[in-house]
Amino acid sequence: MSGLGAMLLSGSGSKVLAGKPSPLAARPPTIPAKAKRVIFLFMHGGPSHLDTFDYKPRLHRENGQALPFAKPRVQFAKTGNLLKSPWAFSKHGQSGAWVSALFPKVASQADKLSFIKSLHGSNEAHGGALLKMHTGSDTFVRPSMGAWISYGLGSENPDLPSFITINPTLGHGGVQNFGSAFLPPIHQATRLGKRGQSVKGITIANLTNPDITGTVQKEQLAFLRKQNELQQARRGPSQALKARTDSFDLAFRMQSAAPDLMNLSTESKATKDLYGIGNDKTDNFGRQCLLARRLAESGVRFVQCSHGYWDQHSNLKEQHFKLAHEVDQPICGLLKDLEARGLLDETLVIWGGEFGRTPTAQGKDGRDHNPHAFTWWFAGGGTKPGVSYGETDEYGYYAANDKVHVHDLHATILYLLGIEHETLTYRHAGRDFRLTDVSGRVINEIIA
Amino acid sequence: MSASSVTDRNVVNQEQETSDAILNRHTRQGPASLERVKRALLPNHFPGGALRGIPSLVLLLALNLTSRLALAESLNTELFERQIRPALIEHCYECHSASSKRLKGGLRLDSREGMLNGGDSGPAIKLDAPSSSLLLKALNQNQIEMPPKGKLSQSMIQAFAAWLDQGAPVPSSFDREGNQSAGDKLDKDALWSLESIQRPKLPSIQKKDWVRNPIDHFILHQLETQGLEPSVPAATHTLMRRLHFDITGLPPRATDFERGSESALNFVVLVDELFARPQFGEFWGRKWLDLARYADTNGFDENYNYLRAWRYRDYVVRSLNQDKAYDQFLMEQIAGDLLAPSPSLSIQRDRITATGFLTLGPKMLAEQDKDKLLIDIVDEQIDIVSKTTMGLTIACARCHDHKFDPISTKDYYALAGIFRSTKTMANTDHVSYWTETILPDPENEKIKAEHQRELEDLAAQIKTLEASDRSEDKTKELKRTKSQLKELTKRGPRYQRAMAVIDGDATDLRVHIRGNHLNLAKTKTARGFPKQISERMASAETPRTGSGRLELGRWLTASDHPLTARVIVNRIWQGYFGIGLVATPSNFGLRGEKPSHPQLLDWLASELLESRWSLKHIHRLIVTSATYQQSSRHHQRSADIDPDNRFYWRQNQRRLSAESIRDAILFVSDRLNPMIGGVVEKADRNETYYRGSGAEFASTRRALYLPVIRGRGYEMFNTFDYSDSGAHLSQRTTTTVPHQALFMLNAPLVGDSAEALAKTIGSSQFPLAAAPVETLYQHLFFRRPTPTESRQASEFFDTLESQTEAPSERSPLGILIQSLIAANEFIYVD
Repeated sequence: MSGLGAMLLSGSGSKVLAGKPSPLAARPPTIPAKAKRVIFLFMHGGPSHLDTFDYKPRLHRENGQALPFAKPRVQFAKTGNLLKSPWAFSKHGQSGAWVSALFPKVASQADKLSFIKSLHGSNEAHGGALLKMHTGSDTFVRPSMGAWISYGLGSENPDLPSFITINPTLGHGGVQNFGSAFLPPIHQATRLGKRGQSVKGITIANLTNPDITGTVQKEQLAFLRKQNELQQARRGPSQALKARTDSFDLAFRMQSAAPDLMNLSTESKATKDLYGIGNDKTDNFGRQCLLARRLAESGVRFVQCSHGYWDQHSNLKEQHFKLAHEVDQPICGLLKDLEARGLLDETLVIWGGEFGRTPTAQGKDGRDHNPHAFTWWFAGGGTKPGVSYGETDEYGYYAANDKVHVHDLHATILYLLGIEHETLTYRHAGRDFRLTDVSGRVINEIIA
Repeated sequence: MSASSVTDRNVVNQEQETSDAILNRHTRQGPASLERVKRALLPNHFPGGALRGIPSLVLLLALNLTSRLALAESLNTELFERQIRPALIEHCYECHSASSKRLKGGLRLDSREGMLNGGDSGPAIKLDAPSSSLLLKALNQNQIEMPPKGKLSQSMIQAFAAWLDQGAPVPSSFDREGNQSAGDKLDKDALWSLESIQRPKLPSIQKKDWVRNPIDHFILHQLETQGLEPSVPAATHTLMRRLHFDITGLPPRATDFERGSESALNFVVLVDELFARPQFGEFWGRKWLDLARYADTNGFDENYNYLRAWRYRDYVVRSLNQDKAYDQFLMEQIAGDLLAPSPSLSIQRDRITATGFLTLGPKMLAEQDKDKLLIDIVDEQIDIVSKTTMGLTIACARCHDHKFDPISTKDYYALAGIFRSTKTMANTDHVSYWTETILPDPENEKIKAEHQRELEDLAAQIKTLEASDRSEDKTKELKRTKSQLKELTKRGPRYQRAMAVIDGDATDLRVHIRGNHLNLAKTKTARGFPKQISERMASAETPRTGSGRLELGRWLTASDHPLTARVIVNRIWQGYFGIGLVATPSNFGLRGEKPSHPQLLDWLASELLESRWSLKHIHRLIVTSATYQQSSRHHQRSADIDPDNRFYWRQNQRRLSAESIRDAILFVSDRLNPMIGGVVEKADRNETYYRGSGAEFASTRRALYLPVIRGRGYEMFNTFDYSDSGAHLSQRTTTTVPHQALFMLNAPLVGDSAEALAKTIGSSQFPLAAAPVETLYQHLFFRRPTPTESRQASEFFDTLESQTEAPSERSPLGILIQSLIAANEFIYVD
């Protein structure tokens, strides 16, 4: 770990608030934790499970024929007959996982992955599906999964936020997807950039002041502290005032530390190459992944990277190829790097989108939204490598065997982090709320 | 960034949240742990009495006193209520309850007795050998396989096992009533807030000379009972600053400083002046907008601009400034369109605009299951109306009878019928659109004629073009003109419109079983109001024709409605003390907090009713009380007795809201644009998706007027705890996070404002040379600096002036001002 990381982890900030623990103070898990943190690679738009990880020979054989069973009652758009995947599938690694030609580099890491191929949600539109995926509800305003995890476990590093999201979309539910809703706002994500923005140069709001030198600001802080202390001496003790006085010191420390943490130039060329940084196509997501590793390494509990826009109602062939290529090398690099640093065991990496796509064609070269079946994979963080759980029907339209609902996914993620999803509750408006509402089953089959 | 934060104890009942979380953790850890918790909580409550095991001291300390008993009461049956009962209802009652069409196996699971007696196969539960209970075997698919549709999750089965291990405790009402609704089985004494409002007599007190008005009787009586003493009155300038912020959301002007030094400042005059300012309506209107989940965009999936939402916002501000009677204010928002049309144009426009309240919620516009879209909107409307007006969370009853409050699923669908008979959506297209109503306007005829003329002009042009030669140019022009015509026809005349609902086809709904719109009950539920409340009222009409909104409005504002008056006076109180007499302002149900001063609450509610619902009357009573005017200084002895100040032995020190912080920064630097109402410059006026760049947030008008963009709110607001415009917000939380410090240190808004004030003070208007620091403190804190402060500020200023390194963009005075704005005192009200 770099000197910087070590300094951040020394946690000088935590002592300042002695007397009333910070709501971000690290809290022990309630059951033995397998993972300490999460890196969530969110593929916005709905990547096609049928063209990536869910191999359906029958779809291939019956290309152009009608779907032999009913389509769902509610569909987002009209689709026609079956459309085979334009990409060949082959088996990879000792586990023999099926991966399409879209992900050659990720395929090389197949033995690290555990697939869930029977995921299903309920909302056929992006906004609803994103909210369902991130907050467990497409009907009500609820805290996001990262906020719940921050609330449950706090931050491993008192000088950094517990939840950071990089380049999120601000549509389709926007900040609600990484917000804290009724949980204390400290648990909402700190946002770096937004969809479509280059990761180069993204920063936290108000992190720097171009008009004042660091020396002046130090003097300013010293004066401010004196002013605050005088006021407090007049009024008598107040926890709130003291906390606010101290928050300026923390802010100043972060302001010095965070830019370095976000500065990737200290990484070796070999590392950058590993993530595909420097290569036009893979540079941006590579930077996201490398930044995610640096943040995770420094103790941020939940880091989300977002990539899009996987919404191929048309142009499937061209666009899915382009998108997959942009993330293939960076993801492979992230998995290798985490492993090499001994971090993979305690870092849960998650890959997936808000829904899958239909096996039936929209136009000639497109697929519609499909919340009834999609694939996610996990790596590290105590998951069982090289397994695949659940199945869709023979065409991949519906989740069929060992179905996994979004709530089950959330329950499993919490379990891996050492939290029983039924016990992580927050009292709001007279009710105890949970990420998993009244459902959720831990998928033991993918846990090591 | 958020390395560390503290939540203000005065504002959020954080301690209780923690205790609940702990409790929940314990209840999940199996029976042994549960027993420990129970014993720790209620040593005398269990037969066998003696304290076996060590009471969990940690837990006891973590729980606050008021919540402890309530928790213990519900603890015993919590597992049942939270897990077992819902599972029974969902998986078993189709065949094993009084409501089963055909009772199967002679077994009823809707009472404990039924379970113990069992059915054809014998007792379903055995208390002496819980693990061999037939129920458990069936759930484990051992010999008998239940439920027939598939095995329950392992965790659910474990919950049943745990519950049986505890001796299968059920609430006493369960045995009597089986699976009947909570609404029917409510213990009539249980919910204080449904009792009729009685004007209480003033309680006796000792320290009579402290009292300024009846509020103080109630407060002092409690203080004296607790052995507490009220604090001294706040210093004049402190009180002036408090009044300004509390009434208008803005600080006093430095030029008013001398007024506070006058020997006989007339408070009544000052208070009346403040209430007469339009900024009163702006500030208190914003609080109402929190309740009404006001926003200028839809949020959710398709973040469409709510282009005309601002009319509702301005309506709220206007109404509060007029001191519109609260019953009328509510009536207009629920059924303004259904009232007998007013001859006054402005009143009629307001009545239409007011119903925007019902339609401002986030909607899943691209939801393709349009039935679901519509019923979700209904649900959101029920939620917003019931929480805002009655402080009840009725929306729970969408899927099951309310577990804690007297609301049954039938009550819910009776209300749902009213809103389903109301038209909120103009269409259910792929991306659906909401209803908007043309506002009456004498100009409308002219606007229509103008539109007609434009149409005719275009039609004439087309005709000419068609008759002319078909050169390339002309063909292009023809095409363009035709599309213009089409566009113009579609757009219609440019009438002024408001987001507003209208009545649709009156219809009663069937109960949606477990909230599923595809699974409907056989019979319809007549439109109406929650039975347990109606029963306590003298008269309640039933909706017959029309949607029933009119009747709903009358019902809510009837003088004997037990909740409406109580809820609103409590909200006003909260605005002046940071916490309500009922600490859960939108939950007056069984799971809400009980009032700290029930008699005072009822007295205020009676005052509201007797003043014909005058809200300003309540405001005035509160700010002229000795209770309100106390100092907020710490007092060790009182703090030892009542650390949370629940008895009001002092005023609470409160942090400003996000809006007030921003407005105050602009105000002290004389940059605040005082314009009232309307839309800010650079706001995105796009008819579809919000496509703004955020430039609108640079406006220097009051924060109230900055557009509220769901999903991408103004970052400064998010930083200072206003982050959720998608849902009813009854209380802002107050956090202290380093992001806020970063804002104060680095945001251009702060730096630029400080620099602006520096320039003003530097100009001839203020005698800088004479007493710069003095002037500054009056401007920023509305007080004189102490000698120490003066010295420190001057020293800091000198240091900045003597800085020889790289020249700073900011002047020394600007930096000094910025530092003072960043100080605690600037954003706290004493």
